[in-house]
Amino acid sequence: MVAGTRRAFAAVILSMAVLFAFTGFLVRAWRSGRSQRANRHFEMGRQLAQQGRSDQAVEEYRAALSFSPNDTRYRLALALALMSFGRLDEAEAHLGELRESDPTNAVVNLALARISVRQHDWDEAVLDYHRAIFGLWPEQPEKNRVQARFELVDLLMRRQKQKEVLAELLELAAETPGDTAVQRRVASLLLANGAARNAADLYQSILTASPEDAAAWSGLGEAQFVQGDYPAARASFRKALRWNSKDEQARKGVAECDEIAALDPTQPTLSSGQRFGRARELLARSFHGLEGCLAASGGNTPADVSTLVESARPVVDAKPRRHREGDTPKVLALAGELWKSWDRVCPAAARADQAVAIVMGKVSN
Amino acid sequence: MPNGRTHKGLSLPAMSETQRFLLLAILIGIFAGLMVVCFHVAIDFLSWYSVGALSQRLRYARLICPTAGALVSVLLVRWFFRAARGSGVNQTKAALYISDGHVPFSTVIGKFLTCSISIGTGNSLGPEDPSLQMGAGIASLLGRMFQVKRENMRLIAPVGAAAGIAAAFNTPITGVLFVMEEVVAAWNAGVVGSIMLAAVSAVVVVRWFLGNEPLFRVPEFELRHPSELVVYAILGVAGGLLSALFVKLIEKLKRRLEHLPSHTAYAQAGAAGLLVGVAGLWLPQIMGAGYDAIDSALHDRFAWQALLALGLVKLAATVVSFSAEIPGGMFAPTLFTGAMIGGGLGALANRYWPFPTSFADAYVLVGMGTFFAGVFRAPMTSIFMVFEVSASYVIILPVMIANTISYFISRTLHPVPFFTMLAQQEGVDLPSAEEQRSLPVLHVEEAMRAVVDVVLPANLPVAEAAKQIETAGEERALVTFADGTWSTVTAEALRASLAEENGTHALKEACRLEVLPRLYPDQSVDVALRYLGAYPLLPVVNRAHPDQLEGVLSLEDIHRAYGIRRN
Repeated sequence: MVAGTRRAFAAVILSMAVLFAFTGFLVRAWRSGRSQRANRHFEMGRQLAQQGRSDQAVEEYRAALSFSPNDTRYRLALALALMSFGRLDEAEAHLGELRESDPTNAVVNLALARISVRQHDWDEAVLDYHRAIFGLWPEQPEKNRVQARFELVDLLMRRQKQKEVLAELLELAAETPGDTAVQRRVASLLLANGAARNAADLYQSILTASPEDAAAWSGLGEAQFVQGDYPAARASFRKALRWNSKDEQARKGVAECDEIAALDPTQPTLSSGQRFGRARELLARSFHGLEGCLAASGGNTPADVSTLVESARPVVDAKPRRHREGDTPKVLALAGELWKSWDRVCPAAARADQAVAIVMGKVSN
Repeated sequence: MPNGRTHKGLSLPAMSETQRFLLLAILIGIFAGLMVVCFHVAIDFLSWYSVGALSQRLRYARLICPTAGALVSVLLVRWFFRAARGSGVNQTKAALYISDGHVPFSTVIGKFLTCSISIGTGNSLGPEDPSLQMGAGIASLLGRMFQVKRENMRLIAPVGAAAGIAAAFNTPITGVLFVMEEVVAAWNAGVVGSIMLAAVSAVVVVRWFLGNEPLFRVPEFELRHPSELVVYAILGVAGGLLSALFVKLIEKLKRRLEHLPSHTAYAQAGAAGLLVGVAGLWLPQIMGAGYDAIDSALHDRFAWQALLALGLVKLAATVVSFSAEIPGGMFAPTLFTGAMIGGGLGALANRYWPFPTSFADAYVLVGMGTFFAGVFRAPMTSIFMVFEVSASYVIILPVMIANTISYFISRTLHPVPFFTMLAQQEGVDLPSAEEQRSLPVLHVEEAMRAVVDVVLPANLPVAEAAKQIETAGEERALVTFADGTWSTVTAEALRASLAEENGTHALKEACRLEVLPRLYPDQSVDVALRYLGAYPLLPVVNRAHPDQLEGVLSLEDIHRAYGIRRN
């Protein structure tokens, strides 16, 4: 190349370099301007969202996002605002994009789980909840994980997936050993989902750490009650009342335990007279219960039940007398038949008399 | 200088012309990319500081900004940058067909300034066509500097145009295809290579500065039921009808406005800007290029009524803006209108079609391509543009159906292509690539004589050959060799041979037989003409069996085929 040509060629390259630099400067200023505008809209959106004006907040978030489409905060805020505004499809699209860029984002996964719940896509919701539980939370990870798992438990309970519920609850209990409030809630849910023994164990562990926890005593009492250990339940309810005398649940528990204890003819320490007296009491309560039920049913009484009532009436109405050997089992057998009929014709009423139901169940076993 | 203009140019003697052209293509791409980035940023800045800033303080800022922007940009065009008038595509074509690749650099500056102002202030026009022209202008300047040969200089403007449009759309394939489909009708591997290099370089520069963000964030596409293809076909029909209407409206309004006295040009621009502003008060999304609104439509943000209203109002606003000669391009408004109409129809189908259909966003995407195919008559570009923007293979089938239907309807209703119509209105006769492609080519098989009287084997004795040619009354006959080659011999040559010897020698020994080039029936007559100067009669043979004669071709046959009578 001749020298002149080289110089000219160099000039082209130089002008390219200058244009590059100028463009770089311009683009920096442009980016900064976009960023400022995006932030302004975002802040405005946040204020509007706090005021409950979701529709306007959505517009501001959209504007923020149009200036800064890669900012995950803006997209997440927009998605959450859209959710609260009921625009699930659009929110899902934004959240999907966010998850694509960061699959471990727990906030995004939780929001997607909530959308799936609202869309009745249960399996996807469970998956998303798990992604949220095991994902990364920007702040308060433990608290948020627990909350997400409780949401999942709630969903599973509504779907009547008992095994999964118990699995989640046991995991939750294992993950939060020091958090009494969470443990109490877990124990209560365990109890509600038929895992009374696990619930009792959990309450026991709470009480080991906090022996003055009235709620835990009350919960333990209920767990023991459900397991049929009425004396232990009574003791637990009493302790609950000792630490919290206003605990009506515990008070009711004590009363129920006392009633069962007063009604139960199977207790080994009873004399035969006491056993007979309790059998008669069970007979009377079952008979009157069934009779009341039949009266309320307005004549649609099954024939076998009417016959049973009529055959039992003389026994019920008979004056108490000194009992003979073999009377108690007969009375208990008749009481058992009456209670079964009562439970068949009016199950709600029969189960409402919890003490009779429990004792009759115990006797029949 | 190759084009007759005088320039103190660069020369790189160590490089061949082809190498120099390829290097130039890269440089063109880089410069075009940089220019498009600056253009994009300038439009945004102007938009922020005009409509964006004033809208918060003045209630009617949306009326004032486009009106003022239209007036200023038209004033600049008429006073300072007259070369920046009109369509960038046609200017590039003019460089290719009229001015040997010369595009004045003032066009680049003019387009940059005037279009930044008009689009930035909210007029309903787009930045792609100006980008295309700026690319062509930069290419032309560099070509002049590097003293590119005349034939290459002609092609340099399309190379720059491809770079410009690829950078503007951030889609290299679309840029390349559009230029090859709309601007350069005839191309070869060298041209395609240069265009690709330039487009890719430009897109790399744009992505370097503006990031890898696509023009639109496109949701996932799926075809939910085969019957949906019928809906896409309906969309194609709607796109075709609307695009024909769009082109006709521009044609008529432009013609009317051109007949008004020239001093009304400012009033026309101001009125157009004002109308856009009025529409913008109601539907602000129609202002400017409208990419944000397309993006919103792609994410299901508008109800079907809003989508259709946006599409139709944008169509009207663009017709008005473009006809009033406010500087700016048509690509973005076309995409906008198509997207909204498509989205509107898609949303309606979503409600009323008896089978499952995709969400409206899929129709937004297909609608963009459909309207583009109908208006610009570039079906391949429209298909690949949607494909490139969506990165979805599934969308190809609906796009092909809708775009092809739209293309044919528009072509039937408005036979003159859009850019040709604009060129005609400007008083220039620029060839349309579409027309050039559809020009009938005369093939050898249409001109040749199928019946051949005399074919002489090369080993035939001269006396026998002379007898046969005399019997047929021909002056010249074809001679065939065993290896499938052909020659001719004249009656005069045979007579001369007979006079010299007794005629028992074979033709190939007694006469001087020159091997003839062979023609094939599918070749164009143009190929044959290149030989017929040297050889008055040529054999037309089968490609698979060169010894099998299909016919013969002479100059007289070609004249007859073209209907030329010779005295």
